[in-house]
Amino acid sequence: MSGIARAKWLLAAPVGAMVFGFFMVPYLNIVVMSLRQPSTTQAYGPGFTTDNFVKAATDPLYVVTLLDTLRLAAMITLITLALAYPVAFHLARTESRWRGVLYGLVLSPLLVGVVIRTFGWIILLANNGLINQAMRQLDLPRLQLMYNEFGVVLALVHIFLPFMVLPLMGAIQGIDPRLEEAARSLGADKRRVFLRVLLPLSMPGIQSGCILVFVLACGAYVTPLLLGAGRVHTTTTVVVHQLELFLWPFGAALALVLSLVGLMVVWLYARLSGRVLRGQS
Amino acid sequence: MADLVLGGLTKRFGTVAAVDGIDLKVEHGLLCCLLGPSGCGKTTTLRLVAGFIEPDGGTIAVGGKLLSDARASLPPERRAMSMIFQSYALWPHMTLFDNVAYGLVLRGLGREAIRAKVEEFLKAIRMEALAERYPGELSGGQQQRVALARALIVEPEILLLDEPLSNLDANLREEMRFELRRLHDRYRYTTLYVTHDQAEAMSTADLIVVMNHGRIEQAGPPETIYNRPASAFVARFIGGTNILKARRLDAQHVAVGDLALRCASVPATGDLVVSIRMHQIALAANRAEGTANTAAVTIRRRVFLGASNDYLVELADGSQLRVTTTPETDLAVGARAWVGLPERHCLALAE
Repeated sequence: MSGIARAKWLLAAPVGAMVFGFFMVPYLNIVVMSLRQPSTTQAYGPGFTTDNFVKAATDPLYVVTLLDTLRLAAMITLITLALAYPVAFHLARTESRWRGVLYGLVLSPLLVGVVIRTFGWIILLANNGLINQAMRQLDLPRLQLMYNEFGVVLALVHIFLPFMVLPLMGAIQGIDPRLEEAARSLGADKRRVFLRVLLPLSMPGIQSGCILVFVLACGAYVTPLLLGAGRVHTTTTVVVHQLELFLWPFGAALALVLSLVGLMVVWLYARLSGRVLRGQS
Repeated sequence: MADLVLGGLTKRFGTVAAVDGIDLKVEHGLLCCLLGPSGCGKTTTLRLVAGFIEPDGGTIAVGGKLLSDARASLPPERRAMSMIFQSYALWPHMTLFDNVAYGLVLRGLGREAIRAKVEEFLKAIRMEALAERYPGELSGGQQQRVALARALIVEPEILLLDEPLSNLDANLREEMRFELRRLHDRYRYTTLYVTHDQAEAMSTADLIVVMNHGRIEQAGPPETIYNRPASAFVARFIGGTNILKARRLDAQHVAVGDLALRCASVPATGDLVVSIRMHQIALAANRAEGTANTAAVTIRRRVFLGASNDYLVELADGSQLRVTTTPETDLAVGARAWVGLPERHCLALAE
């Protein structure tokens, strides 16, 4: 082995050790745990079983929760995409000297931790929150803004916007504005330019943004827990609930099923959108 | 008949007038070059005509129909113009066929009609074999030919070209100049062509418009621009000339240092310069017949260029002239010689 090759391995070693020690080992532990019997005195009991997976994949309660989770994640992804695209387009093309400020505003949801941000939403959305206080002052009926999917979706869209805006912006910045002008001069109105030129050429950004947001939405826990407040069930909240019931092995199995199904959705999506992308290199 | 008429066209960016009251008429079927240094307003003019930016004042009319005035401006897609860009601007996610066909698809033509017409145009640019390729697989010259076909196929009233050859290497550029001219002679669209390259303008244009600081310095056929520049700026920009500071003596004479020159005509007022093309100066060891417009010089530098000699000579007052001669003229550096400055080639111009 040459000196350079050895140096490369040495440089990669700390990261490798990190990934192995703090990611691979716990993950493998979850896999092992998911195949064990529950125990009230330790993480799991002796002996192996597939019961946890059978229950996770067949019990309607958990299947429906999983489908709800995927549906919510898909909805959040689409809403985020629709809201993020105009923002990303503007940021990518603006020559304003406020560009840096706008960029900071887009990233601002990331500046506050998830718990604090969620409490911020509660202050706004609660039954006696700021919005409903204002409604009462105006003698208008009370709005149910949280303890339902609306609140959860709203808060998650807010958090995930930067993860959609940034890849979209990167993709749009790579599109020569002349490509749009060429289409305009040949007779395409703005709508056609968007559909035939901008959208297909933004696909790499749309693809990575959607995968990011979908995966994040599938794994979201604190926001559904606090804003759903026991009325919105996602697989993540159900998994944590199992831990409280000392059913760690079943919780592990549920978590793995969510990961696997989420991965399959992403893989399918990447294949489908990859077909659209082909021939664009 | 689609002639293009600009009236007092003005565009300001902040306090700077990028285009400052341009009046121009391009007759139907002519190829007009907007020529000038970068920042002279030529590209802004083109983009105003295309409709990508809105003017602050003035009018744009095509074939007598008003497209833009102070109150309203038609969007680019309703102007029946096609634009060709320096960066080719082919859509990378579409095949050549789809690129060329798109304008016809927008016009709602049937499948068969589109196929026939696209094939005809791909043949006209000799690229029918590559119809299913993507732009990324082509050379720059090929891409620009496809861009030309894409623009011409919709039969625009006006064709707009924005430095279309600047991204190509020198050999290809020359070839494409002839290709552009050949296609123009074949389809005869009224064409507005922006370039900073005077050779490109000379070899393609029917009408050259030299621009500077957002204004038109001179508009005319290439021969007039070259032989009868209206200002020192034009003479300088259409290269290969000597510019000497001069003083008016009378309607026929100017003084360059202590040398009196007889010129074709002399402007009545203002600061003057005399422009004399490098290849229109006679250089010889002995004084020529007749004494008008001759001066003693010292040879300062000589560069042999194969087809010509390029001399730098110095007049008695220290000012220098560049002279292009036949390769046979053989004068040593440091030698004394005589220049003859023919009266009809001494152009006294307002600075």
